[in-house]
Amino acid sequence: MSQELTPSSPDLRAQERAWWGVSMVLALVLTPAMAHAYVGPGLGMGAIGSAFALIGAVFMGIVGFIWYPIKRLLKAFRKPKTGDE
Amino acid sequence: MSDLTAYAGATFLVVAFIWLLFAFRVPAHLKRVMAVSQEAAKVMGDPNATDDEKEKTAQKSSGQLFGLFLLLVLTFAGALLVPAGVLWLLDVVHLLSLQRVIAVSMSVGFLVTATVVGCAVSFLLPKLRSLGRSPVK
Repeated sequence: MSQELTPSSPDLRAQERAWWGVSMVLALVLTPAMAHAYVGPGLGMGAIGSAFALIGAVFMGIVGFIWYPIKRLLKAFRKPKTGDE
Repeated sequence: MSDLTAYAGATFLVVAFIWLLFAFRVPAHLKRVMAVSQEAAKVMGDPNATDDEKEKTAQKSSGQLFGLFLLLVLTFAGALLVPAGVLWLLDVVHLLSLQRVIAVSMSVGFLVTATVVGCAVSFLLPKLRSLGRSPVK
C-alpha cells in the first residue's frame, strides 16, 4: 500500500526543499563571479588560530563563569539541611 | 606606472607581512593557544579534579585565550597595515600606484607564484639552517 503524496505532505515538502537546494547550488556553481575571498597560508593560519582562541575563550567563559557557579548554587540548594531546627 | 613597480610593491607587501608575523612571534602565540586549550581540556577531563579546580582552570584559560585572541588579531592587523601603510605613502608621493599593487597582489598568477615560493622557502629554510649549524668534518 503506497502513501499518497498530497501538496502538504511532509515527503513532498522535503522533496521540494531538496530541489530548491540543488537548484541554488547549481546556480552558484554555474554563475561564478569574482569573490575576492582568497586567504593565503599565512593569513589562513592566523584566522584559524584566532578563531580557535575566540571559540575556546567563549566556551571556557561559559563553563567557568556560568556553568560551575550555577552547579555550585544548585548543590547548595539540594544539600540536606543539617543543624538543630 | 610600470607593471614592474606594481609587482615589486606586491612582493614587498607579502614579504613584509610574513617577516612581521615572525617578528611579532605569531607562531609562538599560536602554539600558546594550543597549549592553553590542551591544558584546560586535560583538567576538565580529569575525573580526580574537583569542581572548584575545574572552575578556576576554565576561568583562567578563558581569560588567557581571550587575551591571545586579541593579541593575534592586533598582530595580524599590524603585520598587514604596516606594509600597506608604506605602500600608501609611496602612492601619495607618486612612486607607485596602490590600486595597481592591490590588483597585482590579487591576480591568480601572483597568488600561485607567492604560494609556491612561500611553501618552497618554508620547506627549504629549516634544512639550510640545520646544514649551516652542523659541524664541518
